[in-house]
Amino acid sequence: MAQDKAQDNRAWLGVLPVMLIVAFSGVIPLMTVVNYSVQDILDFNTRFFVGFEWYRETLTDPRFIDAFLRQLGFSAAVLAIEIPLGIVIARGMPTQGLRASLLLVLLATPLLIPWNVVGTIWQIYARSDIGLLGVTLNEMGFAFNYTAEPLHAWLTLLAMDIWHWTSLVALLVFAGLTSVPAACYQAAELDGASKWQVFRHVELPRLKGVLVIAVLLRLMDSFMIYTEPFVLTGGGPGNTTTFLSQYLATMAVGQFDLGPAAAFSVIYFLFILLFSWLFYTSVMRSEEDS
Amino acid sequence: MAGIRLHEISFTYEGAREPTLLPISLDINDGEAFSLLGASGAGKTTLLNLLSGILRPTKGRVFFDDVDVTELPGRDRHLAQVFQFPVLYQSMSVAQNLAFPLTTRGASLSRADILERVSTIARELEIESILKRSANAISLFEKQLVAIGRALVRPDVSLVLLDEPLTAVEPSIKWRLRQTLKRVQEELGVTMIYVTHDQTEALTFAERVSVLADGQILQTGTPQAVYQNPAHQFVGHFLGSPGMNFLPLDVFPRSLQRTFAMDGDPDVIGFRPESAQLTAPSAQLLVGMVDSQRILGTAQGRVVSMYGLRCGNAQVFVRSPASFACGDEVGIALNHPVGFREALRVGGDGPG
Repeated sequence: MAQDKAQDNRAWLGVLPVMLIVAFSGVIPLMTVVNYSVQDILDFNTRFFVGFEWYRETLTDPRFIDAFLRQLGFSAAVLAIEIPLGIVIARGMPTQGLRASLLLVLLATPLLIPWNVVGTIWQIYARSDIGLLGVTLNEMGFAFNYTAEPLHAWLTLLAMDIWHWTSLVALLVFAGLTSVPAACYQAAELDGASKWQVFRHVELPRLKGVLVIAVLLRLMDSFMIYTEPFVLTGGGPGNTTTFLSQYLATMAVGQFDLGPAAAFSVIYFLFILLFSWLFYTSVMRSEEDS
Repeated sequence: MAGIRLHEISFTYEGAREPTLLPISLDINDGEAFSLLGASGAGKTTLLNLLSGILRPTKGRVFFDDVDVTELPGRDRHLAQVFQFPVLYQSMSVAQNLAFPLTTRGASLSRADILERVSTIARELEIESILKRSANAISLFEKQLVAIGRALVRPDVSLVLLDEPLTAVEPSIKWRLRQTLKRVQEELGVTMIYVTHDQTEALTFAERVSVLADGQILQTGTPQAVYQNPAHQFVGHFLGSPGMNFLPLDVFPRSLQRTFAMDGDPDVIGFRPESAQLTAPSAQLLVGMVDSQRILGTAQGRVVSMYGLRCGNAQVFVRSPASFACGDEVGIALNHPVGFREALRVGGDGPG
């Protein structure tokens, strides 16, 4: 018994390096933010404990609420377009041969471009004076100007995100589809299933795993989007494309409001965690029910 | 229900130099339990895909009940298939799986008719107790039963193809599934084509068997006929364990050679290990020397052994209750010799 215990204790020594690294790189920085969030910091030496004051203030701040709603709208739109579009693209792809390889490379290309470059590409591409897209639209008679029209700014942002990230969904779904046995399609064909039924009953149940991953990745990523709108619209016109991360950056880095920014960060983090958890558990519960 | 007729169908895969199937003609009767038996690579799956409409024959026609279905897609051929591994709609319940083929392509069955049909099939396969379960939550054996049920559920199904349906099932319950299949086939009178490389499965399931090798049908007949009177050496060799023994004509004594010659002038004589008796050597008998003995068990109180014997340069196996030792010279009396022409050799040991 005593010997067992001695062995257990030595095992702790074994995980100590990992604990130190995790603490150094994850736990302590996070806790620092939590610590900031309950203080009013005037300068390095002057700080007061304010309890949940910053949390209360953030949650009732109309600008936070607006940015939050914008964020929700953006993520919802991104998911509503990219997931179905990715599935459609993946289903339409050839599975073998040179064309398949070329398409895979082509699809992967946007994923390899750094975020700020994507922002810059679209910033120029959509400009109404020199951009290919902007000029074309204006020539066609649409008075397109994303720097002045909130709707145009939104559409440009969405188009950019779809351009950048639909490939990821398509690639994941493509990988998922390759794992569907040929016999399943064959059986559905002989059963007389329609194209929709083949998708609904043969493919979708087997895509569930990759789709959960795709939705989670796109949900988290779009919820945290920063660089691309920062480069493309800078949050404007007005505040119409200011999402949570950008508002936060203005607060923390621009105005150096460390306390409120820290509270904001913690709330932001908890929201992402909550959405991901809600989505994941609801999917997994429906799995158990069926 | 339908009779199936294959008329001179052949198939060559795109880009392949050699045809996978040489011209094949075959008639399968309405309601027949038929089996296609062959080693892997013999062309079984290709033939199956030609029947199910996945592939179109390069030449020849396929008829279901005298209707030319060669150009029809699988979904319009009114057939169903059971695969090596159970193929189910995993997000549905067992009952929904069984009902699915009845609800597709605007089928005109009423709800009550569908329920009636599903419960009939479930009763037939004895899976009523799992109807409400999820298709994901049942055993492999039950899954395959449900897959068979889905194949049988459509009243208009004219043909059920079974592609090695017992592969995934545990050996201990294979016989149960086989018996269920056989019983259901007899009771429903559905035409079934059972594709397998397992001779036991083929010979116990089918009323008639076709043996395939190298893209040809070597022989079609009742299991009895195919086993006892193989038309080709390959068939004799492929069926039975061990397979048929073959000896060149010249190892037999003159008197026997003359007897064989009257029956088609064969080059090679084959016989089954169990259709020969070992006795004392004599001038009228084939003579061999015992060089191995393996005891198989007892039959009617006598020990039965499988003897390996050397006859000239060839080795043969004979199952016998007689008692000999290695090195003994024995006479081998053949009960049911089968003559073959050398030119008809097909399979692994011939030039293709």
